Amino acid sequence: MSIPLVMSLALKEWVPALDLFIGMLSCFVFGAVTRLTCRTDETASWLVGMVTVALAWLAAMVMGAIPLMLSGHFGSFLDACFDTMSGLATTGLTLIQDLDHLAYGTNFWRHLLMFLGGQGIVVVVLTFFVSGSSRAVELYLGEGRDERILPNVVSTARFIWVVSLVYLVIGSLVLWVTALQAGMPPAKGLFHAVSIFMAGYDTGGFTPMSQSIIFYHSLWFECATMLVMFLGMINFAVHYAAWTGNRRELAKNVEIRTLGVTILLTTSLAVIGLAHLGVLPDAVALFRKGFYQIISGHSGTGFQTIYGRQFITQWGSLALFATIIAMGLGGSASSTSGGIKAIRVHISARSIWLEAKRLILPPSSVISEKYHHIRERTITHDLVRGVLIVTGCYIIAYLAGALVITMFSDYSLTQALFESTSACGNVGLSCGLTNPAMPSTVKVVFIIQMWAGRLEFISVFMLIGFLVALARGK
Amino acid sequence: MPGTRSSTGTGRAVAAAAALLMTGCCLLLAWSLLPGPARAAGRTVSSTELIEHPDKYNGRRVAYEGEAIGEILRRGDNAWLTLNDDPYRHRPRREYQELKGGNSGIGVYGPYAEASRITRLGSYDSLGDLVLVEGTFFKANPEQGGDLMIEFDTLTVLRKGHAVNRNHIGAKPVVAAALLLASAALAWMWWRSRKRLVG
Repeated sequence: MSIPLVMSLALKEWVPALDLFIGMLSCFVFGAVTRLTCRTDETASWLVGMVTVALAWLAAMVMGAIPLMLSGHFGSFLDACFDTMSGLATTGLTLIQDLDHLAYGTNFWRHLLMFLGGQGIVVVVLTFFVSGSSRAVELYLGEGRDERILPNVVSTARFIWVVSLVYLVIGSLVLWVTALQAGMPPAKGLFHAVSIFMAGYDTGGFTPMSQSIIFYHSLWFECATMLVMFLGMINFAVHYAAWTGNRRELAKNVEIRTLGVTILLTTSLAVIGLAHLGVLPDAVALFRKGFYQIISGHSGTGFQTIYGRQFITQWGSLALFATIIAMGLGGSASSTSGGIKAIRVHISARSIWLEAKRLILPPSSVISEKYHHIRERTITHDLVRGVLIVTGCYIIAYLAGALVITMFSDYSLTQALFESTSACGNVGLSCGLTNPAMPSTVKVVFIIQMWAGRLEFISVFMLIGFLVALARGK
Repeated sequence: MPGTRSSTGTGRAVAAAAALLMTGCCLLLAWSLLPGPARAAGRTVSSTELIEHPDKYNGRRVAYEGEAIGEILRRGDNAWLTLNDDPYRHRPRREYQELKGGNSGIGVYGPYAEASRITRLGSYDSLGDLVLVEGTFFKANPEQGGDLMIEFDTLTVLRKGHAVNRNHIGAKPVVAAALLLASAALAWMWWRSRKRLVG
């Protein structure tokens, strides 16, 4: 919170600065109390590591919500927690009220939450506060990151931050130039550029203005944000390969190829649906509205170039279905994207093909399937089982969320499924359902979906198991 | 005859009343036909109505009123504006400390010469000018990349914006001071425990 605090002080926003200062002190008090009371020298087990991560995210939500609540722009602490979890989980759904009159410091804090959450709270800790520990592995994996780019997780975490900071500088400059071209004044343009880069690269979706990307009415700005979203949806291991000169990986990588196919399919569906209804007048409009929304949904960002209600009033069933599919699939594993992830989509599809081959070929045949991700890998039974479990969890969570929303509100199942997929896939696109007046039950369901979706369920299951065991006295 | 004089007087009164009524009706009719901000304000359409029923208003002339927010994005001789028609345009949150839901508004595009009449834009420390625009509504304007928007030709500033400096600090300084004391105490305890461990 120190960065937005300095910003508030520089802009003479005294009350928001005080809000952030109270938030900082609350974090310090909480941290110091837990350090004094919960400190142990024992090596953490796999279970404890996972439970710690799940609890750390909840604690971060509560602590991060303090300055937001004090800003006076939230109807309740639950709403502030909703936005904080949305920020940390890089979702982008928001319950903030009167965003267009929000202080710069507080607004920057919202975007910074996305930048921290996108890289991962644990990655922040590993990068800046841990010199090297065996416990780091459990914490790192618990945060939904299933591969180490470098042999050491601390080095991996540091690499993630180096990449992100380099992109932050370059991406913000590109967005700033396009913002100036769109008519923004230099100082405000820079604020918008940095904020939108942090939200876009971390596939978050918060924007400084309530109108999202529509506010800028600029083709170039939209193209720049699309580029940032593309960067955000790529696996950090692929970034590493490209950075270290292995550019062929970009063409060979299974996730990049799968993303190419799924983007093409969902875009085609959306374009057919929109063209059939005659919603958009020409190819440029289809690119700026149709393709943009598919990329925004697929990458898990949630930037909007249309008003939320247009999904319902204008887009029609097919384009809406394509957007839900894109949101559900998500970007790459070990990126800042949410959703099922391209690698799981690929392995799930290949496992179906594998089973079909087993049925067709003689029983004595030895069948082996390989895929390329950084190196050649074999599709094993264990891999398929793990992939299908997580994929199943996502699909169940999307559907269960939609059912709960329809049970506790008057929204249609389509709208509920759209919003549920958006929350659990950490996307942030909204068809207008997410608003401060929605029932508290639905808000809580969304918070759980965003949290579980970001941590890819495993840490959350571990926490539930841990609590059940604790209740049974084991 | 007294009776005839009386009936003549009544007739004149009725005629005068009828003439007055007719004149009033004519004036009312003329006023209703006159264009202008005051008249148009009565026929304004909300952003919610436009977004919910885009087909109904597509290609039609509309009047729309809202608080100018953010920036005037100049594009040559024209400019983009965002006009919010949510409750905060009349009752700024910072002044009244009331929450009335999220923002709602729409983008409008028109001559920069008209847009430049706006002197204050809504932000953290400002309530923006309340303006009325009249123009054509498009559910997807082909000239603007398919944007749902209003292409305005006239813009009238209905009310000047003003600075909003009222701060509601409440008990925040006391809370901050208490937390500062607690932080200092905990830091001292942590330092002591660390020293003991090292010792």
